[in-house]
Amino acid sequence: MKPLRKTDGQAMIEFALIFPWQLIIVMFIVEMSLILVGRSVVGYAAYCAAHAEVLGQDPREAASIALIPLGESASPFAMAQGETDSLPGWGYQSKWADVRAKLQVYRLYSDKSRVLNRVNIRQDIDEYHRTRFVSQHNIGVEVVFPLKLMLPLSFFEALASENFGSGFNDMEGRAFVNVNGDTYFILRERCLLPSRDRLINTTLELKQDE
Amino acid sequence: MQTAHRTKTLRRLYRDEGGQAIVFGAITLLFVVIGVIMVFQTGLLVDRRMQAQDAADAAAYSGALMKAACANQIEWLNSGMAYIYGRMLQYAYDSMYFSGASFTGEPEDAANFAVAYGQTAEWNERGTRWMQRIGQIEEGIANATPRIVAQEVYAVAAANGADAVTIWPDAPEYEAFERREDSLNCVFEPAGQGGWFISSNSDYIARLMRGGAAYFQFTMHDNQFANNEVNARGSMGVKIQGGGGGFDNRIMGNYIYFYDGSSYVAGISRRMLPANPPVQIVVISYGDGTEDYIDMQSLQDLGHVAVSHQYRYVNVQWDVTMAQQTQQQNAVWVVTAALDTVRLNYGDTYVESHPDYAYVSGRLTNGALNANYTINGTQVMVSGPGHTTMVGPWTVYEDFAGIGQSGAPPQFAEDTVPRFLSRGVWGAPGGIDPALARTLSSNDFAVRLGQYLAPGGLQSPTITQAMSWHAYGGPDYQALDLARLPLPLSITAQFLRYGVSVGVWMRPQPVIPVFTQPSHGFFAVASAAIGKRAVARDAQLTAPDDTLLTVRLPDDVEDYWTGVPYSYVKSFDNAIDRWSATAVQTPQGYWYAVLVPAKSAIMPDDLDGPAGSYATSAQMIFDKLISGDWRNPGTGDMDPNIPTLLREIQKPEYEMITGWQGDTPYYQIMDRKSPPLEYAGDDFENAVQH
Repeated sequence: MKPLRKTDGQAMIEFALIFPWQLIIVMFIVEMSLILVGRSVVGYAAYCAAHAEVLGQDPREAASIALIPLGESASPFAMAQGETDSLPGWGYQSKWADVRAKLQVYRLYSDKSRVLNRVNIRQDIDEYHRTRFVSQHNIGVEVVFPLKLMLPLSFFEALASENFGSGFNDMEGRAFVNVNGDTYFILRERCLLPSRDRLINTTLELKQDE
Repeated sequence: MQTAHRTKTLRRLYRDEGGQAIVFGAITLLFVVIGVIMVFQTGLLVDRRMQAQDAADAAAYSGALMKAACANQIEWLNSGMAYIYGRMLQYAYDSMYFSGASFTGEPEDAANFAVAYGQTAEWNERGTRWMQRIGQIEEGIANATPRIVAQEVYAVAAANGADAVTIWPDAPEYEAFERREDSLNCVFEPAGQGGWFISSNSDYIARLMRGGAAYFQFTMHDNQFANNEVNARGSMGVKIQGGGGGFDNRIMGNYIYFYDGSSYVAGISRRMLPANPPVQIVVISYGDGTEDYIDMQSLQDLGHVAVSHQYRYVNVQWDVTMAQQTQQQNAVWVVTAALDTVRLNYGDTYVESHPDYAYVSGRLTNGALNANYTINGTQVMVSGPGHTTMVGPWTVYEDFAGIGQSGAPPQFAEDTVPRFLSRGVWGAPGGIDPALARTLSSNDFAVRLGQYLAPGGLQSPTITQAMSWHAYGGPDYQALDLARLPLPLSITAQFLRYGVSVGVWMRPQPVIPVFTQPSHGFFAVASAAIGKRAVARDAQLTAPDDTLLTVRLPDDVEDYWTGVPYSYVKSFDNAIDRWSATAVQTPQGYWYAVLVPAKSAIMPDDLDGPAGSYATSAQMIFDKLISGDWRNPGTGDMDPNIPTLLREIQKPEYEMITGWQGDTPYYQIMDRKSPPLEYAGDDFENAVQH
């Protein structure tokens, strides 16, 4: 049984057995790295949104600019809106419209029961309604953004729920979403900044000497 | 031999199957390392950007807060100067009033005046010294303010990790303070007949009035005295003079002169009157056609009398029960002229005066009026330029005997008024010259009338009267030496308008450049504006407006303090407008600071014009950047390393890009050599303007 003892081709067989798992592991690492990078960017977008909210600017726009690196150039959602955007000095931003289509910004607030609620800051929301919450001591903003997964990992897809082309309006409580055959990981980041009111009140206490 | 051995070794290694997994492990480890670096790099980049922005925000806000604190110090000291002013005047008046001088113009009263003058002069000397010292302190604060702000900005920026910081505006770029006559808005004016006039349009006087003062004349401009509460109780007199615009005041007191371009109201303090004093109100409406609105709600304190004067329209409502209870001799005067309509509501009585006629309607004989008639009586005189009408069945003066038929308003000849006034019922020495009294339609008459009514009715002279005493042989009373009194400091509009803008720079992070790292470091710009807190809602600021910042006033109204129109204030910051949507504009309160969006560019007109003048700007910061005017936050000095590092910016590879994205300013220091993480792409070259 000499041929049986021969080890020729063993490594190839082993490689054939190991390689799929190896590939999956590497893909998982790469994917997780991209997700972590996206998480940092979304966190930065949350900061930009909260900062804009403190200054009375549009938090959606601030967050969308920060999230441009995570957008897709050829997004069916962006194409449907037909938006063409450009930033001064930076020219046409092909990913901006896609970001705005996917982005959801929430304004955090706490009611009397100290339960942290949130309200969606929509593009069409009235300025009046948006600023109803500004008078709180803290400005809290949550940015939700679906990050498109680059690599086809079936277990991610298995975790994802189907969302038949309705966009990303139904991301609540989900980690993965399948939209039009693509898998998205839902990134949620919050940022809490002191409002101007809070700063003012602090100084008022210091200066109240009468 | 060598070759054989090497071949043998290779063959052995080929057959050796140990360590095969190393290959897979190495490949996996490679991706792990790449991923870790990528994540770390991104996180560092993001964190650094946020850190820079936080440092800029904190530094700008802190600097503006320091600036506001300095402004508050100046205001408080100004208020103290006003208090001393008022005390000096009050003491001067009290000295004369209680000196026993009867102010009859007789020479034998001179001794009493001498005593009063001596006491007053001593007090004036002391008060003048105090005011001079306060003025010195104010100047010290004013001169130190830019340095205080800079130190605060440097300290806060350094504490937040900034490697370089720059501030705009610098001290030479604006005039922080200036001494203006109207800063305290207390202009001492020895007016001829009316007494000691202090012209003011500041709320300092309002505070000062609580302690009582001699005789004040406020020169009011449009709404600059709005919503002030003036408690003139115990004061000798108050006269508020408007510049012809409308104003809305609530003035509490019992001796009040309201006088704007269209109306004149004088009330007499009970304190200055005998035990059972009359309550007198005179409304003189000029025919200047200006739109006035006076809500003298506090006159209810005076004599249960409410006087409201709207556009060519005066309403006087009098609670006659007060007169019934006190059995006082009451009089309400309404003198009007062309273009104005005066309506006088006395109980159920309605008196209206038109340019050409005056009439009284209502139930003149009803119970209220009859009841009033049964007491000491009341005169209501309505006169127009063409006709002078004395109405009211309640007149009790013998000069008007036979007039008081109820039901129909009696008509009088034009000389009725001169006769009436010449009786000296108001106590004016010699009464009013009938020749002057005939010129009812002239403003001069109204002024003189008010001047006569006040001191005469009071039976107590003003300081100005005392000053003119030497004409009767009395002591030569010296007025306060106004030239020696330091004028209060006034905060300039630029000081408040510019706020504080801070640019912060952080060094680039030495990280493995997996992704593009901005080699020029991290910049952040933040601006903070200064405003005043509204009284109505604690948490709101009004614009310099926040006097600032008030948003509910008409556009043509100017801020009392900065002189900035509120239209500017409304455009001052949309965010502030929204934030203070429920705030009520008021000139009172302290100065505070708020963060505002940094503007990317500031136009030359912004420095003087109304629009967008509040703060500056990334462009300003960038200009400083180019010129190397950046400071080490730790030392406050120029860091020799910083200019060399920042010189990179001046290379052609870098460019400052400013613009507007809608209403949002946009600025970016573009590194064309190493573009940011993700940029537009193909259109990049076309977008850059060289």
